[in-house]
Amino acid sequence: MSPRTDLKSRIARALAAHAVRVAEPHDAEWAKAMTHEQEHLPPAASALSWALGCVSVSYRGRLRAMRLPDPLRSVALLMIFLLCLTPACWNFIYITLSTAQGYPLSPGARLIFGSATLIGPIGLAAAVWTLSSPSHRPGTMFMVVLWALTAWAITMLRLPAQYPLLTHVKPGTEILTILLNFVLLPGLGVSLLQRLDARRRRPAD
Amino acid sequence: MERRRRPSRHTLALLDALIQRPRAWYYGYDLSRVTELKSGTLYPILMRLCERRVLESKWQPATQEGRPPRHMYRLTSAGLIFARDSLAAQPAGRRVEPPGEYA
Repeated sequence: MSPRTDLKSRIARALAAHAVRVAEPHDAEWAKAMTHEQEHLPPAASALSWALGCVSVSYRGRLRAMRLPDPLRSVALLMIFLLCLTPACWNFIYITLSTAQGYPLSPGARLIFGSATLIGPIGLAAAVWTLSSPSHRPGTMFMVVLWALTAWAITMLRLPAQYPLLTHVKPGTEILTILLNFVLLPGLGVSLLQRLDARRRRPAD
Repeated sequence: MERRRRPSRHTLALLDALIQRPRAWYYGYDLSRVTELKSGTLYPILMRLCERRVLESKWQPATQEGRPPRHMYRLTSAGLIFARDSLAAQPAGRRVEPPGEYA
């Protein structure tokens, strides 16, 4: 076995073990079924791709089991989301208008600003949609945001690199944007997920 | 009343694969190969179909030493009827192509 294949196989095994660890107790047997099957794949099959599928199934199962908080807490969460996402929304509109008016953006800046600022409108819409209706699952919201951001980032990368660096942004805006979108919002998202995950574990719920 | 959605394209592909030999047991990988579904798509369908008693599953001890046991799947009697009905209800243009080879 080549070192590259060996590394891939070790990563696949680590991912499979992770999938079993994060699986809901209800899905534990299924997680085992998937990861055991991985040990029987023929050499030509991609164990890594199989393992990634296992991880995805375990996380989706776990997200599905989460429960939204009561209405009062939902409103409080919505207010926090509004406070955090409104600057990102404004940033998105500002950058879109600036680009439309011909202000230049480098491909790197497009990727960072584009994907980061898009968190604003998508996140806001997803948060309102999820929190306003108890029947909507948070897992769906996070998947939608994740896929939309990935698609956006890929689109940004594939656009022709004909613009030089963004020049009209006020000093400090980049740092604020990066802090808001890559520190504050993910932090908020993670804490929300932890909160929902903790609720899932309570037998009374 | 339980809401029954029409089976998805992927579910139909899986049912079509299983119905070729209705009493045979299949491994997850074999089903993945025949239906060309990735594990992340295939297993949630298997889980759902087992939950609805369309499929039954069992563990089979590994034939090779040092390997873990494997999960196997097959249609139940009710599942066979469900599979036939679901596949028959497909519009002619959307028929699932029968795969050439089964494990």
